[in-house]
Amino acid sequence: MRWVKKTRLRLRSLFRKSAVDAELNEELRFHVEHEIARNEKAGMSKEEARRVALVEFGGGQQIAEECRDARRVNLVQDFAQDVRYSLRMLRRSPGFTAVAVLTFALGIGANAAIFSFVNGILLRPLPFENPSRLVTVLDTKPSDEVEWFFVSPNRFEEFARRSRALGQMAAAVNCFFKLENSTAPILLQGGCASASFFPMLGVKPFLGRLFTSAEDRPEGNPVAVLSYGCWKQHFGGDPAAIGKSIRRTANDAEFTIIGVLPPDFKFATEDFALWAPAGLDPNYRNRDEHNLLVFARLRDGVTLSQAQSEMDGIAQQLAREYPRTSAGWGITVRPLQRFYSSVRNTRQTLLVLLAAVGFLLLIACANVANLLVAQASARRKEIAVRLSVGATRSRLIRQLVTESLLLGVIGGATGFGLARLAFKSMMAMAPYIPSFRPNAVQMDSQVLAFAIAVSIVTSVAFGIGPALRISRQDLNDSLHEAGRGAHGGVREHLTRRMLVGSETALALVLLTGATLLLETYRNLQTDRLGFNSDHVLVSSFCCLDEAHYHTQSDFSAYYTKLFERIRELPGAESVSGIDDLPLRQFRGSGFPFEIEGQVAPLPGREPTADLFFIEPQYFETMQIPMRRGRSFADRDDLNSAPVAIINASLAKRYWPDQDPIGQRLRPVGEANPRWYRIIGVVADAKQRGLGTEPRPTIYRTYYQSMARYTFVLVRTRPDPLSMAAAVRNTIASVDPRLPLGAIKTLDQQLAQSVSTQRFSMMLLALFAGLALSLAAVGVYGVTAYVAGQRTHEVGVRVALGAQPADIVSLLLGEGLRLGLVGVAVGVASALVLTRVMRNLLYGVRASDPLTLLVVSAVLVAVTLAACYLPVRGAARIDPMVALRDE
Amino acid sequence: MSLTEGRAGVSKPTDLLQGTVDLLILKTIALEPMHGWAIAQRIRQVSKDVLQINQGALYPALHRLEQQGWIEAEWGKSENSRRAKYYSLTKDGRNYLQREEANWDRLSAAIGLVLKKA
Repeated sequence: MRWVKKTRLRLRSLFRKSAVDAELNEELRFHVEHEIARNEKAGMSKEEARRVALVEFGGGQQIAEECRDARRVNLVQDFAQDVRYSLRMLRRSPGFTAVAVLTFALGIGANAAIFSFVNGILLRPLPFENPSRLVTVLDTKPSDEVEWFFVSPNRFEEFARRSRALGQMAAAVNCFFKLENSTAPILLQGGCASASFFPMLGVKPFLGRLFTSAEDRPEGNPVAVLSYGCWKQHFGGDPAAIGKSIRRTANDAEFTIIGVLPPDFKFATEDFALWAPAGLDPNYRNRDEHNLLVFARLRDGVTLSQAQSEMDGIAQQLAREYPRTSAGWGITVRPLQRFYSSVRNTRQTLLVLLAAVGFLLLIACANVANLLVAQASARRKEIAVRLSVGATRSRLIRQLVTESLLLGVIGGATGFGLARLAFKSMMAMAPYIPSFRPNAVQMDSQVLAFAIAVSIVTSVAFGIGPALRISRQDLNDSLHEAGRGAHGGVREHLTRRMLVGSETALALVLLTGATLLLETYRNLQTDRLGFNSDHVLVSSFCCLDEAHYHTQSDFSAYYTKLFERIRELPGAESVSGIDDLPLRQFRGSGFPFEIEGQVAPLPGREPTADLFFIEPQYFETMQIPMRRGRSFADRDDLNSAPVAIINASLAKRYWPDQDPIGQRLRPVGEANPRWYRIIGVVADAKQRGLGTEPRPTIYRTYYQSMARYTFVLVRTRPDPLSMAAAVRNTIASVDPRLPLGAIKTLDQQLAQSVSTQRFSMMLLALFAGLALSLAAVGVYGVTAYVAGQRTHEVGVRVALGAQPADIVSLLLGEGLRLGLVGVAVGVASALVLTRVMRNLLYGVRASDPLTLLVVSAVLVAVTLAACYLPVRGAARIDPMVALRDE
Repeated sequence: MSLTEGRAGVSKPTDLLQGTVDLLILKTIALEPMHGWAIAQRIRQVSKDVLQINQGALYPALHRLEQQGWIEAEWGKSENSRRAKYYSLTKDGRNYLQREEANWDRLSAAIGLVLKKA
């Protein structure tokens, strides 16, 4: 049991230090006395014997020290001593300490803030059973520009039947419910999922049970499970909620509550209030509509690429067997977390921000290293004295590194504190957080650990360089030269200039990235949407259910009454409606159609277009101009010939040299399609949001098609939100059974569609601003230092007749050269690094020459400004003072 | 490498490899527990004044060996009835000494061979 003995010894050395030291002294004294006795025996006098013994014994304290070293306790004790000493040193120069701590704090704080997002969204594994095996399965259509599509029920069932690589497979779709236990019905967003969904994720019910596969069928029992939040909020957390019922909006069917999900269950982006089986849902009856999200678990031992190639094969089989619905379609398999984190470029945005704060931290560290070098020059004498009284070099280095470590840790803790303070406002700005945990993004202990770890690593890494160099000084030199300051040393000079040069380069890269995003955001803001979003209120209800609205005349009656009543509201300038909210980013595939008189396209190769159902006055309300023909009129109803309006993009693509008015087109894949005659061409509008290209679009009227969902649009004279209550009440008055959705302005909706860009632009601009000021401080510091070092030289020059202007250009030239080298390196790096941002940009190229030019000019200007103050000071030196300074 | 690392002018007759001092100490106290001064004397006598281990090397080595668990220390009475710290070999130390002695024999034999033949 050697280690027991060793541990006991070590603990004793550490905690019974005085006893151990006393013993050590006694042992050494005993030795000396024996030596004296021996020397006397050899015939020396008493004094002689004593003297020889002591000389031979040498430095008693050094031996004692080495014995303590041998006991290995010094490391710990030295560290404690170093910390105490360092604290004293730091307190003694509060200015230096404050600047260094604050610089570190900025760097670490920014990193902690971004890391909290990266950790919550990209790093922490999903809170499900064996989450790395979970994938999502999506349809693709290589001929279409849309990257992926939801999966149709028919195809989903074929996937599940044919795949061997994918184990459990589950589908889910949005579906809405209404809760009727209060005065007005409440609209609840829910999910409909296959029975395998929860078992696949490994989720167990908190109360009651989950639905079974027998219930997940068209003729199954309608049952639902509540989310924990919904159960608490709407059912008061009462276990008696089980057995109560809730209605599905689409068909007014009654669903019985059978269970409650655990509190920590959250699926992706939405807060689903409850879940019901997908198999009996009306959505599931449209067998060929692409509206399902499909999830699966890879079987043990199957790799992602094996699963992908199996699905490729299945896509080909399906295309052969069902050419009408599956020709031209492919399948893609993606890891679940990866898929959700890359929606709306979240992943890329976070990585760009992470790189940005990394750069910021490097700049901060370079500044602190610069400060340390400067500080060390001021401490030359102290260090020389300590070396000369016998401090070993390694001991000195340890002490200096302890100092920077202390700076780093205090800075890191401060930075974490700052990040916590800024966290709320950051979260308020944050766009969309694809996470599978409630409150996934948090300033928690993991982030704190990260901040501390980063500050330890960086402060040691950046403290050790200066420490190594300072401790290598020549004693004699330093003691002589101390205080004179003319002995900067070429290498020290070079180090500092390199630090500042790289700071400039890093700042330039950050500034370039920020400017590119700024331009993107500006481009988006001034992007011509093609419609006027100002003073427009958007309100929705859900929805004309199958139980009460069967025929086109039911629909028409409802809509006629609804729009008549809203138009009577005072302040309503123009009122209309559309079946899908403009600017909603997740939209399914385009609708395939064919044109009369043209050769029928191959299955899967039909042209596609966005399809909207609108109330006839839509273009007027949105202020989208008609290009040709006419808009919908009251006479375009059930009894007249079906008509459609197309947008300019569609007209240009399919009738480049012809007038499309009077041409007919019809949907492909519908049961008994009718031909729709084109009566008008309308200008393009970016209804998918800012920064998108307008897609070919077909509009049809409410009075010839059954649009169950409606977003009511009201262009108002007063502030739109001031009319929200009136609009809400009016909608409710038409059919009080229909639950209402949220009421917003179109501008709010618009702001949401660019929130990702806004978020990254604001943060990156903040970081770039910090980087720029840190770099300026760095340049200022070095120039001031160099100017101070050259006081003597400047004095001589002035004495020999140099004019202040000559001195300024001499010193400024040096700063400028440094700046230019930094800028050159920075531009080269920016050209490489900003390429990763390509997908985040709109209307500007990553290698935009103007941006680079402007950014370079800004950095050169900042460098010159930072140099100017110290240089002007130097140029005004009185030569007599400068020379006497010796 | 000098026996008394870093302290110029103290290491006199022979520079020895670091591990050798450990070996000498362990061997010396293998017979009976001894205090530091006696260990130095014994080594000097046995080596006929060739090996002189000075205090600056001896005591750190003793403390290090104790720390490693090869030897243990106990306070006892010296010849002239003074309190003195006696070092003795532990069981682990004895095994370690055996191994090291064997190593040393191999090494010195090998060096001897090279010196004679090369």
